[in-house]
Amino acid sequence: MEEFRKKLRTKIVLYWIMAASLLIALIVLQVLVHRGVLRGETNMGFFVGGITVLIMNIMRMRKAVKDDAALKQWYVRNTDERTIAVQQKAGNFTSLFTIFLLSIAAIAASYINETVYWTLGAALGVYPLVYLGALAYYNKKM
Amino acid sequence: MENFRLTIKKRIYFFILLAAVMVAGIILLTAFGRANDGFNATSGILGAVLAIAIGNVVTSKIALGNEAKLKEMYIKYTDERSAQITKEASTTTFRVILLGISAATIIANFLSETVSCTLSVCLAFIFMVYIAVSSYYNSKM
Repeated sequence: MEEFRKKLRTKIVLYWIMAASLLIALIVLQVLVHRGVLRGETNMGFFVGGITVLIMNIMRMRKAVKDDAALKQWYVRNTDERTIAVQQKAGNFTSLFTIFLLSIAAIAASYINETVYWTLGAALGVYPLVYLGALAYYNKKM
Repeated sequence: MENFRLTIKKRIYFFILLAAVMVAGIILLTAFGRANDGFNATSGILGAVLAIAIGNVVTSKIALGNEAKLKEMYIKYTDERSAQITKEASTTTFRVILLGISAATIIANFLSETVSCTLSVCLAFIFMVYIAVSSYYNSKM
């Protein structure tokens, strides 16, 4: 359990770094937009959402690090085989379903808007590449 | 092994049907839809599915005719390690794609509103599917 507590502490530091990076990126982008270097708008929702989720996770992890009962609960949730299986199955299905629907959407968009079609086409092209890369990695690792 | 042979036969029928549908689609598209803007995209995607279907039919037929190949295929389909690798790869791909699309949405916001909106919709859609599928498996398993 002590090792898990250590892992959680490292995770907290990592999350702080990520939140700080997001905040810095948001400020830099806002400054660049105001000075006219970049055109368009900074996607505030993304940054604020990301930072909020990270801070909420940090608070939960800090509570788990301090409280033994919460730590045990956290440990069970993270090592529970059923939860891991559910996550894997859901990820697997979502990947396949997304590829299928991206194809349909790309076909439909090709008749409506070329930019949307190319965007969906690019997303569709990246998907198998990432998948093949992950497959090669896990084939070596497992 | 006989059960697996039956499964492979069913698989062949399925892929032949899929190939036939794709061929019909390509013929119809060539006959009536040549002038449409999306002709190239649609025929390209239909062609890719057709190629996958034909490839599967050929490999399955070869396996049915050769006992050693059939055994090899059976091991590949029932091997726990392969199944685990596929699951892990899918999950990782899912996470990488989510991160990638998020970053692309932020960058695209400065370049093209249409691209940014398209990617945002994709992201929202993927999240919704994932949450729905997760809750389904949570209640099922």
